[in-house]
Amino acid sequence: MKHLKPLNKKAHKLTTAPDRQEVYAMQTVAGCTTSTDPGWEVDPFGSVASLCQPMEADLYGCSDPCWWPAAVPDTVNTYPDWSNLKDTRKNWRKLQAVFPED
Amino acid sequence: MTPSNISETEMLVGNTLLSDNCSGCHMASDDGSFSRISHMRKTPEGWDMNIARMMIFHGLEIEPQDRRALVKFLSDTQGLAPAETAAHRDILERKHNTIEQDVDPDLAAMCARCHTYARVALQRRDKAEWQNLVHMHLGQWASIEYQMLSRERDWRADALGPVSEKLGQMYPLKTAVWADWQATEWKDMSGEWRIVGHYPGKGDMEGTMKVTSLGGDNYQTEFTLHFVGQTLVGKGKSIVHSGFEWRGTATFPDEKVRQIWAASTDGNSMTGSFFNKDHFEESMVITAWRKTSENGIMGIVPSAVKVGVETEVVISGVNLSGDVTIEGAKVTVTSATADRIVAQVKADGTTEGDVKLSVGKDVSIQTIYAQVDYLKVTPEYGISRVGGGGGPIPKVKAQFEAVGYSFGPDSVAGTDDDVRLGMLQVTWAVDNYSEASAEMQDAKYAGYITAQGTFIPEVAGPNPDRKYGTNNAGDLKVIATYTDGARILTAEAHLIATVQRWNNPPIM
Repeated sequence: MKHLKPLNKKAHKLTTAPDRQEVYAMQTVAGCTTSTDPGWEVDPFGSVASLCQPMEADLYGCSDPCWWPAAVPDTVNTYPDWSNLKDTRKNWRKLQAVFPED
Repeated sequence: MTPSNISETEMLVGNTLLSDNCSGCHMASDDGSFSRISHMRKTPEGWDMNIARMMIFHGLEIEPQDRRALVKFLSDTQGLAPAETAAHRDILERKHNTIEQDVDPDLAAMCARCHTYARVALQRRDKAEWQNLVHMHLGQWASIEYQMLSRERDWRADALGPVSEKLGQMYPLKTAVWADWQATEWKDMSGEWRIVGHYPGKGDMEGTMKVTSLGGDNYQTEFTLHFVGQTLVGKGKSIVHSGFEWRGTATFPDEKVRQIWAASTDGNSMTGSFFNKDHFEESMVITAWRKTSENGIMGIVPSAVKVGVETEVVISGVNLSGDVTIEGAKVTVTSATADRIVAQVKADGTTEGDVKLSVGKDVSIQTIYAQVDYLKVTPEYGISRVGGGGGPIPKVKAQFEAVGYSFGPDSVAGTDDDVRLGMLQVTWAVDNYSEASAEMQDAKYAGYITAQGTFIPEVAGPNPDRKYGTNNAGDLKVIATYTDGARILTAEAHLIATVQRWNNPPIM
């Protein structure tokens, strides 16, 4: 940032902002992610209305960037072939559970 | 040093398994340790997830019996002591709808935004090994630095610096409690046991379990359980890890069940969850006592009786004998064994609240009440998940229970002197939680609730009948209605009926 000059008020505010903001997670039921942008199970308002649903329509947006890897298998490194389906809206039944049970 | 609870042969076999399955990647040192593996301690589930991760990440091929044997060996030699798991048993025992309490907010944002905090707190490592775990996360999940609750901070520096430091201090590899537990004699669990349990919304269970040793901490189990008017007979097998972590499966006529229990340090009692093999949310909390020459009253059902109403009360325990008395109530014993006493009880109204119940020299508490003043629905905030519908992920139901209370002497709700009256028979309904859910008609599409408070979610997949073809998810309120003559009491809880998970390891 030292080679960039703020040109407007907003940019200036950014450079003078405190280095770190304290970041806190909201509480939810164990097993649900609190990365609520927009959230997998629960949205930022503790509801489901703001989730991307049907989730089958945007599944690659969840699995490709490994946004919620504890719930939705990430296809970047861990399960590259997991959502290798032509149309998840039609073929969602082929999506398999990934934890290898004993 | 070989811990006294593990024989030299077991050590030799365990180390050979480690060498055969792991030393291709994990370097063996002259002192017998292996890189990474020897520098951490975990629960049985933690070790199992570790092996699963090696299979997924690195293509480890391992026979199921070797995987189980490694989990056993590592849990025994590098496990957690009873006290080290105490704060996180609910997660370990798959108790549904647990909201983790008292989590350091910074660690919640760092770790528990993706998975439970228990997954972290049920491990022991020193700082350098916690840092290795950070590197693993960064290498495996590239977006970890710019996810919500990461991008607002210098994630990498924080994770490798103060967070690893803190975890190393909070959860270090070497602890006195683990050293003490290794030096304590781990008990044989064979014998006759008495069990009591409660299934939320459905009722109480009491019964017996016969445990026979099969050697090597393996046991055969035989159950006779009495649950809501039925007698259920089942058989199974169990294993004890780390000297106290009882894990079992059993087959009953209608279902297969699992047990995740913890034994007390003296080996004479166990507590934990008893749940359906395929539906961890169908679960009862149990307590088991070894039948010894001591013992006493384990449970009283129902825990509360209404003044003036003759009620059948079942007292469960071990070695019960002597007169049965309840302060302020007439007691007529109709049957009595050393395990179980059935009595007709009628409270005369001279006293209310928690009173003394005696069986010979054993004493417990019976509650007497004049009326139910209010009720609560538990859990206050629950989750169910869609499933089935031709897909491989089963539905996750949500079980609710209505619990009655009386105001207590101060006649005010919500104060310390309120008296819990136990589970009530109520009628159940669900409705839309908010305007947004009403607009989406969530209550119509998300599922239904049974007469016993079990919410059954709808099938997975897009629903073409819904706006945007959305899933059968919903934001609902769960309403319990209790009728006592002309008095009608209601209480509500919040239910998120949501989408499925595809990654379902034993520690969420």
